[in-house]
Amino acid sequence: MAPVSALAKYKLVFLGDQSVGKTSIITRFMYDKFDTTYQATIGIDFLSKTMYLEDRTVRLQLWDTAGQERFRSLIPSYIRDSSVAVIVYDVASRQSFLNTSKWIEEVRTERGSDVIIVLVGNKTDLVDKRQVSIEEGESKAREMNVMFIETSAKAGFNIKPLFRKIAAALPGMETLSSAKQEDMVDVNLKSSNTNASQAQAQSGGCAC
Amino acid sequence: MKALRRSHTSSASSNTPSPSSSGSGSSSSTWIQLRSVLFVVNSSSQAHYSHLDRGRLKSPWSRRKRKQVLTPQQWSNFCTPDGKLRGGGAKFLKKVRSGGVEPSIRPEVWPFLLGVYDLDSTKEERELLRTQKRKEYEKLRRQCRRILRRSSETFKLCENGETVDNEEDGGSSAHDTDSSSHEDVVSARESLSSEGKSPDVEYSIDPCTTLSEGADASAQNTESSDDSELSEDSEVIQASAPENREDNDDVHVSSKVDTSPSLPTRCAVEDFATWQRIIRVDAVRANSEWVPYSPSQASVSEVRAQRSAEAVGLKEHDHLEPCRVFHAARLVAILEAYALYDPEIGYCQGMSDLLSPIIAVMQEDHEAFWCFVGFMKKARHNFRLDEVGIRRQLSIVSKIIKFKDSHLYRHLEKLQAEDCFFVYRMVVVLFRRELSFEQTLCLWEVMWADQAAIRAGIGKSAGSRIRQRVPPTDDLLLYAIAASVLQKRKLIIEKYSSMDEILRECNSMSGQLDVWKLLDDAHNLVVNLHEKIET
Repeated sequence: MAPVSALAKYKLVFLGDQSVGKTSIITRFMYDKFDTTYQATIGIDFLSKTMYLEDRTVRLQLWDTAGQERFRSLIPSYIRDSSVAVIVYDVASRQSFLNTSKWIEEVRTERGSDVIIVLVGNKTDLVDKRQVSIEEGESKAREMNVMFIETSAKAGFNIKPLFRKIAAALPGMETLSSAKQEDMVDVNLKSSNTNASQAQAQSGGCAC
Repeated sequence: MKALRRSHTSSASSNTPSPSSSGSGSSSSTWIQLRSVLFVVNSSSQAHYSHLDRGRLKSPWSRRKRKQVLTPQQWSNFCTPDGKLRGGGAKFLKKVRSGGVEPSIRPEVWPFLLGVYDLDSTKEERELLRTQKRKEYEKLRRQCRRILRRSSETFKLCENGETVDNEEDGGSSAHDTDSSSHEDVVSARESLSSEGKSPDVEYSIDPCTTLSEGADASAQNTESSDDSELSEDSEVIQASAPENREDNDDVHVSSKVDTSPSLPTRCAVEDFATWQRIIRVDAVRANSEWVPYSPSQASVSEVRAQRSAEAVGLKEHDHLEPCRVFHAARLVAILEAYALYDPEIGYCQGMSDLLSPIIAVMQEDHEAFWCFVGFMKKARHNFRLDEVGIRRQLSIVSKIIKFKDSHLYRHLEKLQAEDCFFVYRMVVVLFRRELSFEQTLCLWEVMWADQAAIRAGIGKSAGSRIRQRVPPTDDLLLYAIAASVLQKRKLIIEKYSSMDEILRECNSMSGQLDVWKLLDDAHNLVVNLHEKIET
């Protein structure tokens, strides 16, 4: 294969309700820009980016999905070979937060524990409209045993930390077998809660 | 890519008749002979590919440049004094199939292309139909408003101010159906009257004009007719199945906050209230490419935009310019009405992509609605829950590629991409995301004209001229999609080693495609393959 394969490649699939900011998070990360109106994603979109970490370089393949339930039958195959599922909700929409349980379950159904799951509460810039507190987000993450962070793609808040967090949780340079990956995930899940509380401490501006 | 592109040399030396000189019998028969030669060459090995390209035949469509567009003058010449299209509309459709429609006459022409009006209807018949359809649309809107009010009351109990569904009536007249209904109607009328003054519309006056006529009269009746219709509302609700379901208060339960996490994952829980919510979310983030093409709507006043947003309960639009608010409000009104009209489909993301250009062209909501209904007759299959429509179309694209280019097809098989999932988005929103606004409209017009020709039975008989040229097909879009992939064949074969990369390529075609080249290629594929594909 091409020289790129020297890099460890990881698939990240972005899931969550309509208009919670999946595309915005990806665009902020990829191009460091934000547009107030992204059209709805139709089907699946794909972008990739190389991330340079202190000790290694990884290639992240980002799969952006449509939020509407109706397109979901396409998604399982993308979940199936993803290392990471990023499940996004809008902190200003309780509905979208509640629906994350469904998404997490869907990922677990497809991948068991062989996957890193990150719960992301986006749109923290909507301070006055917040419906889901950071504590609720964190407690759900703990309960579901997934990583957690709050972000604002609009304000550019916590986007890089989100991806750094993900990268830190990824298995090492060498392509690991699924079994090994699972071990790694377990280890990282423990540390992730600490990370989450750090993020929480960083984010500060909790509306509640 | 190169292999697919016809060189100028070969086109210059070609003696295929020019499309405008409606092909003589002799040249079409030459064409048929050559076509069978092409067939043989084509089915042989890939090594012949470049050879084939050099000696390749063109369809009569194949000059790559845009054929002449249907002009207002021609359009008016196609009409008889009683407003019928001459010759059952055959010539009219032929013209549109080859060159599309000039923007100024789109509002009049589209209802014919989309089957709102029969090709052989008289002007008088159309006017009657138009009034009837307008009333039908307005009834749907009244139902939407009632449901919205009810659901907002329910929502207020269980959710806080986040939902967009809250106040259609701004709280001032929550129970006043009449006033809100009038408000909506009034804003629709205004859109007409302001548009009537625009040069675009005046320019297109001709014997076929029906849409811009008679509207003033109906506007005057609005109030009285509305009042008299109000009593019919309950009747309407009972008459059609969706409302029986929708009109119950408990409809909203499933969209309440307590949606069980243990729901079977892929069993979609969608109801009208959900659609109302998603429609609003998508409406305010609709693409604004239409703005330069629709000056009268682009210059809508802030007050009016605000009023139309209030009329449909649209919030969360502070960041938008008035014209986009206005556009979003129209999207909401029509998509909601459609969800009631076709509850099996309801609303699905992507439908706003299909409606937005129609709104930009059609000034009146009810006209836009019925054009959309015509468009959706076929496109609705893209949004079916069981995805049968999508799968059928993907498999046809796959078949076209297989028959046309076995080398590329084998490569796709190697990558396990022969299902052509990578063209999913092109299928769902019919190239809207890949082509510019104007190019999309051209493609759609050509495609609609093909479908209208099929509906009218034009080109059915084996001996007809149209059949010897490029036969109309219901699936022109799919040939165009296959053509866009074939244009990238070299890149795909040489550079791409996974489905992901092809998907990325397809999703980033925006701005790279030339619609007339695409249609040329598509028509060539139709000529060569339709018999294999459509059996």
